[in-house]
Amino acid sequence: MLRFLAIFLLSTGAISAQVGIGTPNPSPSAILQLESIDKTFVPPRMTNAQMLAIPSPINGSMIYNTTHNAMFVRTSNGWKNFFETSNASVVLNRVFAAGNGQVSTTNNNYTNFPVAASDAATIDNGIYSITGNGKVKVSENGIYMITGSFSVTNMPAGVRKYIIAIYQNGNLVGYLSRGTANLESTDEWGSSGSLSISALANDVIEVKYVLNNNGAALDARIFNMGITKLK
Amino acid sequence: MPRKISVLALLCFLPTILLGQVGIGTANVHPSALLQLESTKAAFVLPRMSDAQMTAIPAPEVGSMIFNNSENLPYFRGAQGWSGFDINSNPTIILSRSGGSVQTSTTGMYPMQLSTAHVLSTSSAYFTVDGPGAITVSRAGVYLLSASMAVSNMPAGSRNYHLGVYRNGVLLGYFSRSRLENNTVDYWGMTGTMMLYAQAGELFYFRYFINHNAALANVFQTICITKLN
Repeated sequence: MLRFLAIFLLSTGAISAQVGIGTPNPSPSAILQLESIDKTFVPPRMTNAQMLAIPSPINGSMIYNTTHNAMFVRTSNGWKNFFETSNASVVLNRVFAAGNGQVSTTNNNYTNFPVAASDAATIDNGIYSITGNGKVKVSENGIYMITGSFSVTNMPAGVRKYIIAIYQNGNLVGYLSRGTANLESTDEWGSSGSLSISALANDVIEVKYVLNNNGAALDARIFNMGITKLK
Repeated sequence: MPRKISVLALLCFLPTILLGQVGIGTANVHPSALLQLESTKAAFVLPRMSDAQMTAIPAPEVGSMIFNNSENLPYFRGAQGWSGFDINSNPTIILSRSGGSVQTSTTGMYPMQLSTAHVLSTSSAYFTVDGPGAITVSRAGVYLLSASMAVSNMPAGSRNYHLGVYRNGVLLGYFSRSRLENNTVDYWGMTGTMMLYAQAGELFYFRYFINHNAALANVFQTICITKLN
């Protein structure tokens, strides 16, 4: 009887108003306001297995996970640990077969990393969209860290200029690596680096390389690029 | 009006919560919710108190939450005590070593000489050091990997080198691979960075190659892995 009464009162009364516990005057901005200087709020506490067993929880649900000793919130991407930074990331990684001739070497010509949407090892679709080879559009303002790494299996002997560069909206904004290789004989060769940039929503980030070999294509070993949102 | 409702609600909460679910702003509490607040224009407000008042709470339950006015941060009670929500951090392991020697070979790679004894900092729930230059990640996710090493007495002349990360003997990528050329004996180093997606339980091996036939003097060797996502 009491239970029925309470639910009735809450469901009719609270739809149009707020609830205060420990205060007779909840703020107009609060739906539920808890006031205390010596008592806490305790969310539902359960193990990780119990949390995962909740049938179709709704977004915004919160629990205290006693397995991880952390608050978890339900989002459209599943249960998320509040206490663990989650940097939205995209990683494009491609391992090449022998004799692929995929590395363009026109002298001083910037070529996009040959990694496309199908090479995504992981992508946070809320932030990133892959719009072409080595080309990613971000949907939010922020600070992004970009890494790039590539290697070739048959770098020729002699001096060869190389660059790994970041373009933002078509403009060169920095080098991940730049120098000359000077191998004694044909061998594997590779380089990597990282750069952090400030970007606006809808900026397009491209990772490009230069490898001077007078246009004679070389064989790619591994191309890898990653972007993570730091802030 | 708010006064009346809050008093009524307060009166009715005590018996209700023991028995079932509560909705505020909704008549249809989702089966998965114990307490469901529905609003598009009003917020949920935690108990607010000073730092001193927070720490004076006798034996708070693990899982408790308050808003700390002194720190201007939500706080939660964990098994270790009260912590602010700004503990947000990327789980990271750093291994570093200075001094000692660096093995070289004209034919084969060596693992980076960094083991459990060289852990500067770690998030042990995420990383296990399995031996020289070998680290297992215990959760799936996006990881930033970096490695660097330097010697103080790289001989004059030219020689091949590389530094890379491997999984089960398969190359995942080179941080750096090329050929160096020193005019005289001098310091020399190599470094690089890479972002990779790993499955839970994946083992990363950090290995290097310096084409030389005698041990060199180690200045630094460092491995850092950070879980980004």
